[in-house]
Amino acid sequence: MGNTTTTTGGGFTSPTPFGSPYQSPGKKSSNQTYRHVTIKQLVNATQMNSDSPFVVDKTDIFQVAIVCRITKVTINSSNTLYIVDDGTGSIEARQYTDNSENEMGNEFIEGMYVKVVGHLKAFQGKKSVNVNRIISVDSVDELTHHFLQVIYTHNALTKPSIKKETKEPQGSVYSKNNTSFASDMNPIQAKIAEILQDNPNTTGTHINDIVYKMRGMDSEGNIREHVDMMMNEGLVYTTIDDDHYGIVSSK
Amino acid sequence: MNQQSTPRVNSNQLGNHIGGIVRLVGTIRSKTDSQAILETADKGQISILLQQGSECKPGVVEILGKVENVGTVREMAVSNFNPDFGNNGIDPDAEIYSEMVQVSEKYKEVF
Repeated sequence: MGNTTTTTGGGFTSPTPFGSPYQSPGKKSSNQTYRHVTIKQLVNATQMNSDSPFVVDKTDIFQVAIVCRITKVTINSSNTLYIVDDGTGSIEARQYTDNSENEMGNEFIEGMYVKVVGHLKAFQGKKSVNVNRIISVDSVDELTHHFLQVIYTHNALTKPSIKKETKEPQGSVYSKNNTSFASDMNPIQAKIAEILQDNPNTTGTHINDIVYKMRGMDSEGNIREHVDMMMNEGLVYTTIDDDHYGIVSSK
Repeated sequence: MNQQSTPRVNSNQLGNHIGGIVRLVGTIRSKTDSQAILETADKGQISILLQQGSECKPGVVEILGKVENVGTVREMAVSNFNPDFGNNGIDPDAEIYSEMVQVSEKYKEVF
């Protein structure tokens, strides 16, 4: 993972390459987090031995998401087998059902685009996906978003740092760690940025800590407002919960 | 599983895929039973030769098809999508989609 000093402890620049909520690598995956991948990446994933997790882009995968078109549906007694294709390859996706779900009939049919969230499996060299969730995709925007996430995550995991476009700073003084922010950032926000940057923990900085460190500079209400504004501009993001913040690295 | 690549392309890349199978996303501008004009996300006008009993509806679609020449694709399959995509000419969604397609070209190991 990244070994430059500007990245946070987890070795990733943010926003996180994993689906929200934030998951730091090494933690057990929760139900919610998944990584956006292509079928080609899944087919090429490697595994040290049959008990270890699969690896894509040098990083273990847990839950993954693909966005793909259903090319075939086979309804079996204990599971529904989908063959799906996302333009990069084709794979089997199996959704295990209990009896009650089977009787409802199948809403996902050939020709539909779906998002499949699940785990990669391999049997006798052949890869497949165990489906945890399958959701219909109705808008092309979802394809755009997914594939952009795929590219972003791939970059985040295969390069030491991401070069992010920033405005040319004009005499900005707060480049303590040699990062450059928009030159029109006001001193309050610059201080917030500095506080967040100084914290190497991927868990982020609690808003109360930010407020405390800035006591005397502004009222708590104003400081919280500034943090919100920085969120809206994509400069900071929430980490482990809505009270913890991290800063987007501009390197 | 037969791993055939059916890449997502923009209309200006069709020349690189003659005889191959590609995915084109856009809006159907006109349609008969046998043929449709697809305005792609990158604002190309491509003739789609529809198959018998094609499920292609007017609106936003993805055409999976064989490239006959730089201006013509023969439909093999179609997927219909919500109509919220590049309809008014100033919608950024189509632009972003076509840029995504362009960027994905650089990541052959992923796409």
